Amino acid sequence: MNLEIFTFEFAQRALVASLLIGLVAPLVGTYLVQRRLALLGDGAGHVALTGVGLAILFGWTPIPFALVTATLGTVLIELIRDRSKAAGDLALALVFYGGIAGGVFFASLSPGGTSAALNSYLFGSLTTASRADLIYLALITIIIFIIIYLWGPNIFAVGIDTEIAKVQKIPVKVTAIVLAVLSALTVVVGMRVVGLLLVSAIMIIPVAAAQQITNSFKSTMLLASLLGLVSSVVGLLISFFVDVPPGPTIVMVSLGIFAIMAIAAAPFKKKEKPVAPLHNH
Amino acid sequence: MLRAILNLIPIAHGKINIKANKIAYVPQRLPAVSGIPISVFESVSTGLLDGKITLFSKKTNKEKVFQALKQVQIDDLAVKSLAKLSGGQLRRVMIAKALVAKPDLLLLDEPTAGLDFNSQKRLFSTLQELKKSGVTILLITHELGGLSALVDRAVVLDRKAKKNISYFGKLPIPIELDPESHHSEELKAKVSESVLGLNS
Repeated sequence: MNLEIFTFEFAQRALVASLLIGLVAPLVGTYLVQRRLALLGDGAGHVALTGVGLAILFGWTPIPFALVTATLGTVLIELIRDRSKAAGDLALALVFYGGIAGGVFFASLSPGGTSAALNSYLFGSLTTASRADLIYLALITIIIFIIIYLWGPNIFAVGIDTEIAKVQKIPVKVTAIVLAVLSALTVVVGMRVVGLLLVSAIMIIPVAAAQQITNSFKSTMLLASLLGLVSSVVGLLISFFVDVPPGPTIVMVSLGIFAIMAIAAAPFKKKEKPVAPLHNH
Repeated sequence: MLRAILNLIPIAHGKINIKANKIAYVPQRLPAVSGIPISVFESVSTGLLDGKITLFSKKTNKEKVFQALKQVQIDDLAVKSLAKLSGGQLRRVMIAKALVAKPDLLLLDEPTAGLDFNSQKRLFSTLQELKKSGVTILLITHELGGLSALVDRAVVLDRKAKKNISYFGKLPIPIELDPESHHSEELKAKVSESVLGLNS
């Protein structure tokens, strides 16, 4: 494999962007999977597309727009979900449809614009990450790390038992909103390389793979992050050489890793003792 | 009632006065063990959180967690995943999680639910130690079983009786360790006879 391509600046930028998303997405994904909110990242990705469409319409940098719409969208979903689980599910569906429709609508309104301009944001691109983008992405990644470091234990505790968390005076609603914001931030970090439609896959699949062999939340997080990193870099390398968008390639690699780990772990799982009942009465 | 004491649901009538500074709660349900693996240590560590910004890996926290695990005699299970524990062990993990923040009032909802005879005996000795250390324990149960010997005061809630609370007083004698027995009627009879001088 000839790695000369990395002498080009665009390839270096794509590599750095893929390292960032590979590292950070599974960390946030671990909390999402624990809270059974795996689709929240998808919702954030879809609604971010409206932000990108608006940015294309006004000729501005897409990242801040995507960040604002994704954050507003996910926080709105969480607020509705807090009132009613069923309404939250519906809100998520509306965000899915509205996000894509808004993105295509606004991008098409731009002077001479077509929805084709959105393609690189939907499935990722090797060439679109500018130097300014990388600075944005690095800053957002640092913010994600700081939030996880400071508030992660509370998100974890709420994920274990909401009622006990309330007794411990953990602000459960604030924690749900923090997780929604984390999802939105992560989606924006991933939109350049993985694309908005597939970015939540890199949040979830490495977690699903890691939990096949881990025994604790922390080890799941760390292994998922490592697998996300490997998936991103390997997927990116493959996409350089077979000329396909990096998003689908990265997701295919992470699915391959998941399949290998699930198959490898299967014989050991059969030997485990029966799982304790979820609830007793 | 426990949920009202904990301010999780509004109180329809009356008032609840609690002198305890720190209350911990062990619900009836056991923790979910499907999904992402959670170790015993991690689960118990969350008991230290109080809604403020907290860092996970403080050395002092580690010591506190192991102290709580020792109190319920499961310090050897610290690195085990919750999914690999029995019902009795899970119950003790939940009690350790409640104890780690050093509460002065411990609320237990149906602590013996789903526990086999041996697990009930272990739970008894754990609660006995806690009681000796000065922790006030309020537990709600349909059948006291082996825990009856621990009880200083019993309140029997009875829908049919006036004001719902029909009997209140110190248990006259420890009821035999018998997991099969249903103590509601037995309690009413014994408490009413020897404490209140009534016939149930």
